[in-house]
Amino acid sequence: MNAGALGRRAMPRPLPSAEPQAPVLDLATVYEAHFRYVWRCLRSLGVRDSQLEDALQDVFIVVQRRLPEFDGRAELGTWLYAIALRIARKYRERARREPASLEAAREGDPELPRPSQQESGDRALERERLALARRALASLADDKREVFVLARVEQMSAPEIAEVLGIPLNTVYSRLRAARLAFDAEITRLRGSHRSTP
Amino acid sequence: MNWDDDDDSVFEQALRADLPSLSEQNRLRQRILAAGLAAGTALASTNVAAAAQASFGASALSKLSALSWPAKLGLAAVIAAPVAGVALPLAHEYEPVRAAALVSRVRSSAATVRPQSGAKAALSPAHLLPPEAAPGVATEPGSEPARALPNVAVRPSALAAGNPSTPVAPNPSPNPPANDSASSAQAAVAAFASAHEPAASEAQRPRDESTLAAETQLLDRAFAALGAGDRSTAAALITEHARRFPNGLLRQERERARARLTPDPKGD
Repeated sequence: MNAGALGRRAMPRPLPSAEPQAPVLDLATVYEAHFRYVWRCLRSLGVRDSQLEDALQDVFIVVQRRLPEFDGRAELGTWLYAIALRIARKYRERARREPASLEAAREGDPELPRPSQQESGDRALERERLALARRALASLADDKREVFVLARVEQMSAPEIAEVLGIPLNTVYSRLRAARLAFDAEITRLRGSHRSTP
Repeated sequence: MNWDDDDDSVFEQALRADLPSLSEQNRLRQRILAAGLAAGTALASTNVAAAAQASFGASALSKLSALSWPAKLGLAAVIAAPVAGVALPLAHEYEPVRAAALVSRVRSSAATVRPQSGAKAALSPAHLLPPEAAPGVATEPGSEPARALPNVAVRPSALAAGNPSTPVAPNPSPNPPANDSASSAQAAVAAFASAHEPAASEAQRPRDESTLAAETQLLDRAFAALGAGDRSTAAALITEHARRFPNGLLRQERERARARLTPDPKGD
């Protein structure tokens, strides 16, 4: 997969206007431009694969409801991420209340794609990397995970993250630092266990 | 597996590249658009039923493109959940994100519409077009931002009559006088309840109630009542919303509606 082709800013920024104005947007346009990234964000934030479509639709139900009020002061992508973040939290909370989901969460991520023997080596390697990355993400505390995903996956700036999460900028940086350390440590641990696996 | 060339950025890239496949994209697109198109169908059937009982097809698309957002929104909320089985208990606790900075308020008045049961069935795969195939859905440069459609609002009696087989919630005044505002308020609440209480017999519906749809409809009707000066009905609907959805997605809208009830702090 051409991960490198994804720019620094994965989510398109369709509203370059300097002055906040009510943009003329419709749901279909917004959806078409952004749903892949919202999907990725929800997935990275811990929404289980089996609930991903529901969560995505929930996001766009909220978007549809609130889109007429979107005034362009925030970037559309940031606005969408903010909604996705809240929806993802609710799905995580609900999943934790369900014994089966809790068990699944402890397993890391049972819904990871399984490489087939017909896959090319590169494709299998990509899958393994993604599997490890998602497991490492799942090991993070929620507050750190959110900052990590918004910063490292969705490529938002720290001030944008601070705005979305409603936390001080310094807290964004401290959480990101801690998340990065924990993510690295988990990757190292998982890679070690993977190597030791026959 | 050889990990020697791996580093942390590789794993982050893997996460960034984790986008839905083309088949997933198509499925997701159809699902969302199905909700939107269903909304258009429902409105065409509900709002302009007498004037436009035309075939679905192009006329529905053209109608959809001419609708205001509140109408689409309410209808999609009502219809999307049954279509998709949306898990809306999660939405109870939704909080607008840094609302002042990021999210503007939902308009206080919006059309209240009720989809007809046949709306969803009227959909066929041929209608579930991607946006490039349905330009009338994708763009609407002349669309009017949220304005109420008072002629679309469903009267309580219409709600009650529309669901004769649904178990009816206890109603202290089943036959309220038409000009009794308190009774009409109770009737409005009872009608809403009868239309939205879960029906045990509807086993074929996996998630038989959309919380967001129910909240939307209830509050839309409350705002419509406020707009019409019917404060007792509005108060009853707001109270009903607070009872059923104390931590609902739209609780802020509820409180804003409540604030509009009075100058009189004691309410009605």
